[in-house]
Amino acid sequence: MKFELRASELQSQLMSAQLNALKMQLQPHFLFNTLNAITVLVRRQKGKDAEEMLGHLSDLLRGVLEDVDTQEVSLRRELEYLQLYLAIEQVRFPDRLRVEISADPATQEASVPQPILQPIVENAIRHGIGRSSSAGRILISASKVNGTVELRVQDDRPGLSPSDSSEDEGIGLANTRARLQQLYGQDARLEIENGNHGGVVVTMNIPFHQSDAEIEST
Amino acid sequence: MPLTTLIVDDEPLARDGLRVLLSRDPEVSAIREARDGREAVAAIRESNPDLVFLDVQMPEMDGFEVVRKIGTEHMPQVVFVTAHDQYAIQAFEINAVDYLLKPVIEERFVKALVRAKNRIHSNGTADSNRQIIGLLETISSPRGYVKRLAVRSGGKTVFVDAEDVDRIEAAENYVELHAGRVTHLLHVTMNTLEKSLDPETFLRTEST
Repeated sequence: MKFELRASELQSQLMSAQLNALKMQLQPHFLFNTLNAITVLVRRQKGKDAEEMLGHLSDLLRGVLEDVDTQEVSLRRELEYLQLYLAIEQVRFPDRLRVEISADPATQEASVPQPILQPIVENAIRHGIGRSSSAGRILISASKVNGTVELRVQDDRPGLSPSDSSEDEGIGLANTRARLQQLYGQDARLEIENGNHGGVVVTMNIPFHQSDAEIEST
Repeated sequence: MPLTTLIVDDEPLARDGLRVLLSRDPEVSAIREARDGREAVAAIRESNPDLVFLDVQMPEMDGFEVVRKIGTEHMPQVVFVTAHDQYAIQAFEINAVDYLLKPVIEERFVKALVRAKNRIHSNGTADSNRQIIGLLETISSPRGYVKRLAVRSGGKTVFVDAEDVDRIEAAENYVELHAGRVTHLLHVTMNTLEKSLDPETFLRTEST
């Protein structure tokens, strides 16, 4: 009896975690602005561009729906999502976004929570690049450091001031922090700081493990 | 009557989409663009357009802050444009003409433009009765009919469910909304209101 209760509690916790992940990935703001951009491309009779963007959006949605039962994916897959997401953002903000990704091949098959990079990058776009209205650069890197996968997202927005509260970090960052805590406890970390050469750097360390240890909900 | 307009959105494509739609209207004589809240405030102060299409979610200064900066009494007529519907009530509280959801579809856009023109052309009477402002909420009903009516009374916006309305009587530029024992005054003509009401629920009768 007690066990049953426990199981159903866990199940419902898991469901709500999945729903949150889904909402995180499918931010309504992102989704409807993307649909708006596609509508404008159609109105402008740029059929090819509209088609391409619909393709990216569909792949992204399909991926999100496929992985909705999964807490973790390989970094390779997460980077594929990120590329789709960025392809869309680049159409929405053509003059504002330059992104460089460098991932150590040794990290490709590492398991990471899903989504992990996209909310951080979205946060950088909204709070950094979006804020300055001028061109912005985002550097994303993945490497293996001391038994962890270290993911770094660096942008060139104006640095954080001491008065910036955690609320200013943005919902994406807060959710990601909570997610890491929930999955790995003290073994994971997320830090946000000013970069050495300006900009803001978000660094995440996730215990290195591979897909056979994937946490499935089913 | 020439209409000067300002489009405020941080996305180039979103601005372009509204520009195309506005340029299809021969009455629109000027279309300016602003890329963020700060540019919007400067453009409104400088050119005082008749109508502003204002995105809510923008970096640094959002659409509502633009309105606060300008001040409601100096603010041109506003149509909010947003990906979310969570700001609708806020938008209506500052007496926005309309509230467009993204993606912005031409048919719906044209309705907003017509509504804005009506508001601009009848400005004199609207201004003298600012404390009684009735606004329509059209966003949540799939067939485009109003489910709730937003009524400004005693400094607050209250919503009246269309279902609770017993009858509506025309009184010049106003209508009286009778719901139970309460009567609300809405600054809208019967003809405008009628188009927003579900004809299956409301029947028009002429008094003799």
